[in-house]
Amino acid sequence: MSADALEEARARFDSGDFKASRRMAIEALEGRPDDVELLRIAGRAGVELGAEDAVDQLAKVAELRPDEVESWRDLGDAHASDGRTAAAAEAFRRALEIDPGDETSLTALGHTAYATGNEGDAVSYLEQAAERSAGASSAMISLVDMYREMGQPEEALAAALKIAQAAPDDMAAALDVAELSLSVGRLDEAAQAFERIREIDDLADHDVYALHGLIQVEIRRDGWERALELAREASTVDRHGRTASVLAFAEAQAGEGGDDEPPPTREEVEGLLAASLAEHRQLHAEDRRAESKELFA
Amino acid sequence: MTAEWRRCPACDAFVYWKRLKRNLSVCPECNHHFRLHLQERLDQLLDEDSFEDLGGELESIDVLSFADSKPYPERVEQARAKTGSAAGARYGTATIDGHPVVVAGIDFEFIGGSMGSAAGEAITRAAELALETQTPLLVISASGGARMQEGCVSLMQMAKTSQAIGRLGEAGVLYISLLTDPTYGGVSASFATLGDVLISEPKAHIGFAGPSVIEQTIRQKLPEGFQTADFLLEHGMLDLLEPRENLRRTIRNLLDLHARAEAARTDGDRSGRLPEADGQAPVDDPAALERRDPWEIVQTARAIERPHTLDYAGMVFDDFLELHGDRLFEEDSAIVGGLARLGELPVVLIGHQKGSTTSEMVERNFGMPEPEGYRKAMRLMRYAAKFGMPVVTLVDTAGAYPGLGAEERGQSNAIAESIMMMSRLPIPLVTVVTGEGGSGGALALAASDRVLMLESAYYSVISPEGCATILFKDAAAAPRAAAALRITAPDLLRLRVMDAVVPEPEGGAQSDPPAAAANVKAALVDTLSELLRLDGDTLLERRYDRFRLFGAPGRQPVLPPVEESE
Repeated sequence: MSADALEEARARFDSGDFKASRRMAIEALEGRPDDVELLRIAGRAGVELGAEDAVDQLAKVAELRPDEVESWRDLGDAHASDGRTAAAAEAFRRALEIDPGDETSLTALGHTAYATGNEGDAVSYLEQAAERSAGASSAMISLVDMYREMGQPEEALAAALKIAQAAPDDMAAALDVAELSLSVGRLDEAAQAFERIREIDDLADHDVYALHGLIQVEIRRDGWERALELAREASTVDRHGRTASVLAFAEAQAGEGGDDEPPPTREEVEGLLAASLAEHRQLHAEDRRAESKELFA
Repeated sequence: MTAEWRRCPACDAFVYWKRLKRNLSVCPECNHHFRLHLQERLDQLLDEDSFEDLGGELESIDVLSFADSKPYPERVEQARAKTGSAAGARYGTATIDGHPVVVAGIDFEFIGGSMGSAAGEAITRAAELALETQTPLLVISASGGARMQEGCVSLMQMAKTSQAIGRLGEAGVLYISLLTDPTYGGVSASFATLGDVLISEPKAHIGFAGPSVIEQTIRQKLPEGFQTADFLLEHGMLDLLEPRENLRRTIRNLLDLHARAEAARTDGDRSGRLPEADGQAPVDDPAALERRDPWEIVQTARAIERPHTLDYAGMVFDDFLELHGDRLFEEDSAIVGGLARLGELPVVLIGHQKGSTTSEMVERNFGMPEPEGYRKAMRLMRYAAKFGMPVVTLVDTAGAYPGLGAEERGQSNAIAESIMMMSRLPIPLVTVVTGEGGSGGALALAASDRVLMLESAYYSVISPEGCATILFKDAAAAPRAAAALRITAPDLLRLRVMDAVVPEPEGGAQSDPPAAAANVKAALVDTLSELLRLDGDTLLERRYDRFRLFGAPGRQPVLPPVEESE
């Protein structure tokens, strides 16, 4: 009877019916309060539902099965879901003691370390997690930002390139590659990234942003003919008139400017183009969704 | 593309995905409201498993056989693959806490939520279904504007959806519009801003033209917070700004109140929905009132500690939901108004709000409204008439604000329109002057079927100080002017300006606000129980006659000289 109840509870959990799963598990637990598997399912389903006693159930599982990595992972998941960062970190550390290569625990510890200001530890954990995953993992995504903040653009770019390779339609990755390539002077890669952005960004009016990026590349190269060509193209699609100054600058550099007004300075134009890139990034800041990979094998 | 730990774009914190989801996709660190997919919105707002999707056959139509860098149908296919949505817009029926509702929405993930034939059709069909079934409509908007690839047919969706909403409005069916981040262009300039109630979330971006377009056009930096929902609320364009955790409850409360209003409208005896009231009954015999020094009454009426509209809202009514804005220019907090219940009877409550602390008084302009305050009041009165709810106004103002901007924006016309509007509303209107009844600024909320006043209130064509300066040529003659103007309860009863007087506790309303509120409640119950029995035409006729008598020879009561009255 209990085995059937457990199977049914598991099946409901796997189908996403967490309410039914939890109800079945809790009913079965009345007769078997220390049944680890029932506690586990009740706790996991409880975490999905935001149940207050879910962490107690999973804590009991960890107490009864302290040598199982999933016991501590589940507990860490419960604490993290409730915002108890320190408790989550402790649970994931215990998981890591059992399985030093557990990607989920490494990823979680990377983020909890970052939250407490330990950037070095954070990067270390996330690098280990990233090594174990195929590219566009949560660890890798966060590493891009962390490397960038720690003043390691080359490392950030390497991570961004892996993500872009694994998820070629991911706008955030494409923007990271473009921006970071530009910042470290890898202009060919930056140009490729901006061209890729033109392909995948299907929002109206957004073509101008990628064009502004390509113009930045050409300015860095002193490629004035190409910059002018791109600026003209950007002007035709830029409803907001932001390209006017860029065009005037490019014309002047290419020797085609008029003498009516002094053209903007390179500094002004690079500022405008950087602002355009920042605006584009802001518009896509929430494209990535927050969902889980398979936590429970 | 998914991430277990999501970086908040506002505060840069990494948040665990389950914690974020549990918090309705609001950053628990800084309260940044992440954008939601339409399905997530529906999951958060609607009763579980209640949504019946009726939009299965919606599709984008390639009316222009359009192609830019790729053919339009290819873009649509890509969007379908990316979002899992067939058309980027959905509609259907659902319930919210058991209250039936027709729901429609646009998904920003689908080609920027742009409105083409599919989205227009979804909204229109939803409005038509709401009309057919007389069910409230909830529309969730998130859009960058019209879909260029469908050309003028996209533009026409603005007309198609707006006319459907118009028809729904004429039938008196509630339409709640939830504007989410972002809502722009042809969507904001059509159905999205036509709701009876406009709700949004903190920092949601809403506007017509994009900020970049505006900056480039005017060559000026835009103010901080421009086009956020907070900005719109301040500028009178939203009724409600609610954090995401409150949205479901607020919408539910609106539906509940309107269901009660609809039930009341069809009820043969609406007065049965009024509560029991324990307070003292109003007095309509001037001889039963104590004679007091008018100047002393003026001082009492002006006392900062006296309860104001929001105090009475909490003590007399239930479930007061303040609605903001005039939908024209600005939110004027010198007048507050919204929906409330008096027992089981939904009403619209409107009143002046002076403020109790220095900062509040400044913020509320000391209860002296500008045109926006009166226009908000009128908007709420039209709302009341649309849904058959009585209006209760609480008047307490030194007068309409005499300012430069007020004159520029039509203070005279605002007051005039408000008076005229009140005179023609086919619903019960009751006014209680709770403090100062300052001339036209007061009358703009007081052209009612029944006008009552608290015992220590006053009502005057001009302040005693103003009269003293002009007529007595001496500002110090204000007490004499107060007596001469006959601005207190006994005289106003005799003049028939007042229909009844609400007793105050010993020491005035400020000494025992709950007791004063109980008496106000008793007066409202007594008055409304009579008015609710009358149909709209009768109310209009009697209201017209009430004000017609003033100054009419043979009908206007005349008071003896002050000395004889004492």
